[in-house]
Amino acid sequence: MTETTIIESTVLKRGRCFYVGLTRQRLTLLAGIALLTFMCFIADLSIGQAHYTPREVLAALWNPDAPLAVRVILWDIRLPVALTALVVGASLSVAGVKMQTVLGNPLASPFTLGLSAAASFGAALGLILGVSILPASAVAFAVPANAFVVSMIAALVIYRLSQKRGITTEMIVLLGTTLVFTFTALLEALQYIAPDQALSAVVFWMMGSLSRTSWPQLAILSAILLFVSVFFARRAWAFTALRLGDARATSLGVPVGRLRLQGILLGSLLASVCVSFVGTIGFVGLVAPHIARMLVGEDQRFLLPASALCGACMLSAASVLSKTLVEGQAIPIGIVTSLVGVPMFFVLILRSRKL
Amino acid sequence: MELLNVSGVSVAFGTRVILRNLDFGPLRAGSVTALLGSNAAGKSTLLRRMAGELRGAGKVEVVGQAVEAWPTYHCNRPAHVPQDISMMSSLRVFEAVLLASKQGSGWGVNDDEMDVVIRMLQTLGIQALADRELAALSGGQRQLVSIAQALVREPRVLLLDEPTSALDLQNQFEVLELLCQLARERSMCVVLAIHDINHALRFADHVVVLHQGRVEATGSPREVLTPGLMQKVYGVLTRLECCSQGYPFLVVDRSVRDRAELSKVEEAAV
Repeated sequence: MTETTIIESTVLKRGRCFYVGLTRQRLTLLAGIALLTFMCFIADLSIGQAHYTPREVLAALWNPDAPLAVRVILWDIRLPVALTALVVGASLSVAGVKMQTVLGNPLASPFTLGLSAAASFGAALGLILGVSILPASAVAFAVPANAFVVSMIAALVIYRLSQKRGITTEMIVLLGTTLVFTFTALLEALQYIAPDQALSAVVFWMMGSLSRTSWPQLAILSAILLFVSVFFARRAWAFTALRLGDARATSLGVPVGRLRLQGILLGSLLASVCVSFVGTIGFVGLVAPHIARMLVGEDQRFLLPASALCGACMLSAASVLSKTLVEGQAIPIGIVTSLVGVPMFFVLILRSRKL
Repeated sequence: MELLNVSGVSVAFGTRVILRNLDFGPLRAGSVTALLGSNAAGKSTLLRRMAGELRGAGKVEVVGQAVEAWPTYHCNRPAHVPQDISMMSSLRVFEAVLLASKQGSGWGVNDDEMDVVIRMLQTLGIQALADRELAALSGGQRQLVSIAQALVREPRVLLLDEPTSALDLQNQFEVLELLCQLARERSMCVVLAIHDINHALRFADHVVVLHQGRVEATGSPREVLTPGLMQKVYGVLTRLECCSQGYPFLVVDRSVRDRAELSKVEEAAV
């Protein structure tokens, strides 16, 4: 009797050790990515076109007696950009990981579902035709508002269609792809009739830039990221169960249909707001979730923060790169993320081939 | 104790009627019931209806109350193991079972919750697989994980859709024996959809035979599974024999598909 109790307690101990070890390993990885992200953030703050040393610029964070020029550079120029990189990177990545989870498709992302193309078309409507839903006084928000509205219309089309009976997740992804082509064609039609000046404005908008946001926009972005993340985090176990397939998740009592709609709608909201404020920034929403999944696995309690941190880290690093690649010039961030993202994505595809 | 009762159950998808006015039961605690029928007879649909995943006319009652009326994570809500489909997930076996037990509860995992999972894996003899990824498991191992996921909430009714379809001979017998044993030990009511008639004869206390959306026959396996019924439901000529140890087993001689009817269907299709 005592022998069996001893055996049982060792088995239990070993099992607990395994899971506690797994959890500890994941927390360590999370801390590691967080540290890396923080280092990118500091580098992002330190590097710029002004001729001040990183120490001088960073000192203005806590030193109210720093020279006015340095304070302006830090608080009004570099800090908003660096924070935008973190928040937008995290948002796009969280949106991507949710879409990949609820659609069960590794290719799902704000880009592949047509949200970015729709936002570009909305922005072009404002920049070329001068169409705006906002009064003239809110001119700073006119283009982002347009981009957001069109992007959410695209999201709602996907949402409505995915509510219909017999629509599979593959069909939703294909539908997103048709939206990409539709909005790209519409955008090209607009560009064809656009005067030169408006055309360059559209092209510049589409390349994406982190310097378009200041504190109010940053507050909106952060608030939405916080709200959506908390919403998703509260349903972490249910979202993880979706990875077992619809039938299995349903049998575990997970409301699969409702969860899928919430994932699509809130993910789209998050992505649309980002794209509206900073333009199209490719690949973060697609690649960062994959990297996070390789690091911490599928448990959403770890995957969600890991994705957010990976996205933030990627975009922050891209921001640093965009300032350092060409001396004295800032390359648009959308170009950098795509150029860095493509090789990473290529590696991912080749890796998955072996499985 | 009478656990499960099915009365007047019908299910239709659009205009396509799958199940018509089914009645059977009551099924008792500690019993194993085999659900038999040809392909597309509606076995899986019936299991989903009994699990409360589908709506429809009629009543499925667990302990005297409609199945939908029990809260989602109550032990009187039947646990359902759908047919095995590949799980291309990198979740570990331990996580997969933990996941099932944590649905609808809080974020953190405490020691007791871990112990429940470990004991469950031990019961099914898969504790050695705890750290393996689901995608790396064989079909039989995945089936055992699915059963562990269903059992971990200690349900009183367990519904399984072809639990032995992906298993080799040894595993088939082990799983079925385990299910019978668990049914008795935990006073569960186990219902399994199954194709192997010999398994039904050997392991089930009770059989329900579905044919064309209706209950064709119900009762104890030896009384119900006659050559006449087998010909009607499965379209095969069979003999029920007894082995040297007294177990009955079914020998299939040949198929008696109705050629005339088949050509009629083909004509209609043309």
